Amino acid sequence: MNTISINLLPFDTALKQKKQRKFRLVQVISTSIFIVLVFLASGAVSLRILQSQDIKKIQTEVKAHENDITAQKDKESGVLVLKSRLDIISKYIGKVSKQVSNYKFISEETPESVDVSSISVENNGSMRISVLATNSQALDGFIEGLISTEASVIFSKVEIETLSRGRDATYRANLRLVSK
Amino acid sequence: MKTQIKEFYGKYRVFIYPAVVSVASLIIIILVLIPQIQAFIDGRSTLEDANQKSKFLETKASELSNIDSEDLSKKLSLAVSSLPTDKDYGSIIGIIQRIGSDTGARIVSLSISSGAAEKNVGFSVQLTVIGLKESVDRMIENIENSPRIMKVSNMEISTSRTDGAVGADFVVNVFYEPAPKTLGSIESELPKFSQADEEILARLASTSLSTTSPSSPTGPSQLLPRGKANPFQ
Repeated sequence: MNTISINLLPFDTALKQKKQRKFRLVQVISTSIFIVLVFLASGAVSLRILQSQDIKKIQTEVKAHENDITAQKDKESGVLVLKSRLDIISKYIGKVSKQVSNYKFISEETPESVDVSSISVENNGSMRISVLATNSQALDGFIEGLISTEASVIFSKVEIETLSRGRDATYRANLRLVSK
Repeated sequence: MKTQIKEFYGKYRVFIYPAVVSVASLIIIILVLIPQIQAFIDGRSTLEDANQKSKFLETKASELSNIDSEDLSKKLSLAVSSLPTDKDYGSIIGIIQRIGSDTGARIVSLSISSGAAEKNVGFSVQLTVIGLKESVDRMIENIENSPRIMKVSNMEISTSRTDGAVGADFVVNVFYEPAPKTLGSIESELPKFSQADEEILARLASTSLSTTSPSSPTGPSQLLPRGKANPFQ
């Protein structure tokens, strides 16, 4: 059955109702946004409070660990001193100085027929040696040894500073060996 | 007045209500929401840092409690006797005299100078020794390998053609390391000992036993010092 709707209200009242509906809509939207914001703000505050409690708890733990470490300060300083000392010791222990290794090399390389009358080793490992050989071949052999491949690893230069032959047919030489 | 306000509100409430709510919302956003979110973000990094610090300190505390004090003290004593905190002239004279007598080289003179050409070098000892070449060589070797850190610097060695004796003048650099003035902060990491460090300690322990243990005297050396008893007289 068809119905006919007729608005019998006066025009002013209809306009008033329309305005009222519009206001209600605006009111609902505004209030909803406000409530959401209040909810978010209270959520943020709660999270912050929880976080602060966590931080406080961990800071208490940190303090406890710090106290624990402070109580063992002696051990810690002992370990630090030991380590720093060992680092320095490791640079020297079991390592022969250049001066001594060069001196050893000469001692080992000197043949029976050659006498070393003096050796002077400088700070940088360079050496001056005075040798006495019973014959020229022995001296040759000794000098050959000093310019060998093995010796060239140690010495960069071998200089014959003086060479003389004595009345007794012995050869005397002063050599300077420049260390690498 | 009241009626006027009511009328005004009734007329413009569609604008006034949302405007008031917006202002209130803005106040909440500016005064509560933004500061709290900012503080929460900052708090996260603070919490992370505090967590890391706590874990680090916990590990450090546990490492420290695992260290055997007695063992550490022994090791420290070995290291300090090898590299003392001060010049310790007295002990070095004794060590050199012992090395001399152990090797059979006679120390003719021993003088100390406080020159410090190298880093960590406390002082230099000038030695004049005589003896067989083997003895002098062994003495040089023993000085180099001494558990007390010292190294031969300059050497002047001359041999006598008649009796094969060797006269040697050499300078020995003796090292030391002053005690550190500061010992790191509570947050500094505890140093780790490497295999090489353990080997050094084992070596120091073995050499110190053979050279300083009262139960294993190294012959007459400790009873009859060779060379000058007092190098300054």
